[in-house]
Amino acid sequence: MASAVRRSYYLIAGALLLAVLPLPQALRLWQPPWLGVALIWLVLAGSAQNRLLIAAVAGLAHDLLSGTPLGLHAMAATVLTFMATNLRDWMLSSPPWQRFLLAMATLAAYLLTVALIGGWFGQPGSLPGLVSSLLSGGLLILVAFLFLKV
Amino acid sequence: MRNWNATLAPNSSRRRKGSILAGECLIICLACFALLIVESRVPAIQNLRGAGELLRIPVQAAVRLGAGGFSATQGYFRNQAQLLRENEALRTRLLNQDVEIQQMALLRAENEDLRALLALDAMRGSSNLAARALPRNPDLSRHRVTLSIGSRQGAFIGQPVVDSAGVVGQIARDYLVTSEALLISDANHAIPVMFERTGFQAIAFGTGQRDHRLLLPYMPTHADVAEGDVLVSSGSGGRFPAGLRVGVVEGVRNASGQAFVEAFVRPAANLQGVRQVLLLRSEAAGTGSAPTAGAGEES
Repeated sequence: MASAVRRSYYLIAGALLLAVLPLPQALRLWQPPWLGVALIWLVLAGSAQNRLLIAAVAGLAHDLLSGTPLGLHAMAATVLTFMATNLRDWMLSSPPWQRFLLAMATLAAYLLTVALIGGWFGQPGSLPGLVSSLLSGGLLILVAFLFLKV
Repeated sequence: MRNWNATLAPNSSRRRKGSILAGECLIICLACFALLIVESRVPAIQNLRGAGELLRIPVQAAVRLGAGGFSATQGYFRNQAQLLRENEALRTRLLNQDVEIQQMALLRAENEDLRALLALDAMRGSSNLAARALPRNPDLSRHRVTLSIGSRQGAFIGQPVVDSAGVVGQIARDYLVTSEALLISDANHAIPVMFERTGFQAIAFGTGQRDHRLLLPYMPTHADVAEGDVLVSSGSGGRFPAGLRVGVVEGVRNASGQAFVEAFVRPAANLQGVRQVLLLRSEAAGTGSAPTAGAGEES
């Protein structure tokens, strides 16, 4: 159990590191929402306690590291984790394509929250950025579902 | 009733957990929202973002360093591969240029031949015909060369053929646009010659040998013949003009008990690699005259 918790912390730390990874200009738009994907994975794979709190702290760390308004990613990560936790049983008992669609829906909610709340606080997200993040995140989820056992 | 409660228990527990979770989510979201509002209003908290940047910089620097190292390594191997490709291309280019240089050497030699022929032509003051040797039968025992001009251009049977070094032979067959020259080394060819040093006259016969040597047979033993003597055409017989270089004495042989000596002559002209020649149309050669005595007839 302790190792699972530790593993989830490592996963979040890795996702945060990847999120602040400097990318070339051409690839910047296609940077996947690493934290969102990691949180979905955590909810599906792990049975960690205080998921919402962990997600909020991870989101806050993301805000600190990426320079976005404090609380933006924390709120989005909380929403995502809440949704994923509620959908977890459905996801795990669904066929893979349905599981993928549900994961995409939670990721879309995360990205929409970031875009909407960020727009309210002076950091609006662009539609191409939203779509490209959703696509790259979806690809990441697809790869994770295909090659990693949930 | 008990069973009913047992069935409902997990659902109610799940519902309770769900509502707790929703409550937690709401509280956290409200807290985050509050943080967002406070941060947008209070500059002190905005400075916290600056502190976060301080955390970000080392991470990004480390990543950049790694990426830079990767890029440098990639660049090294890319450069290596590029250098190898360039090296290969340069080698191929060098090889091509070597071939071109060899061709240039050939062209230069041809050019020198042509210049010498032109000088010869000017010196003789006649309207001679320049011709090119066509690809020939590689059989060295065949002492004939096909030339690029024929009777249409003015070539005729018996016409002397010379190159820049000396006498090559004479026309043995004249076709319409090509002609065939009989080399002086052919076994059926003979040319009147004179020793440049002594003025002694003789007739040089072709041997038909692969080394294209000529033979001076039946010379009296008192004839002053030495190795290295230069032979020129004597002009006797009227076929070849006098003074054309024929060859150099390579060896003299005097079989014991015989009254004659014989000498072997190395032709002055490059008979093994005839390229550019001149067909003489001088007064001595005559125009369209019949083959004279002393010159070999074609067999």
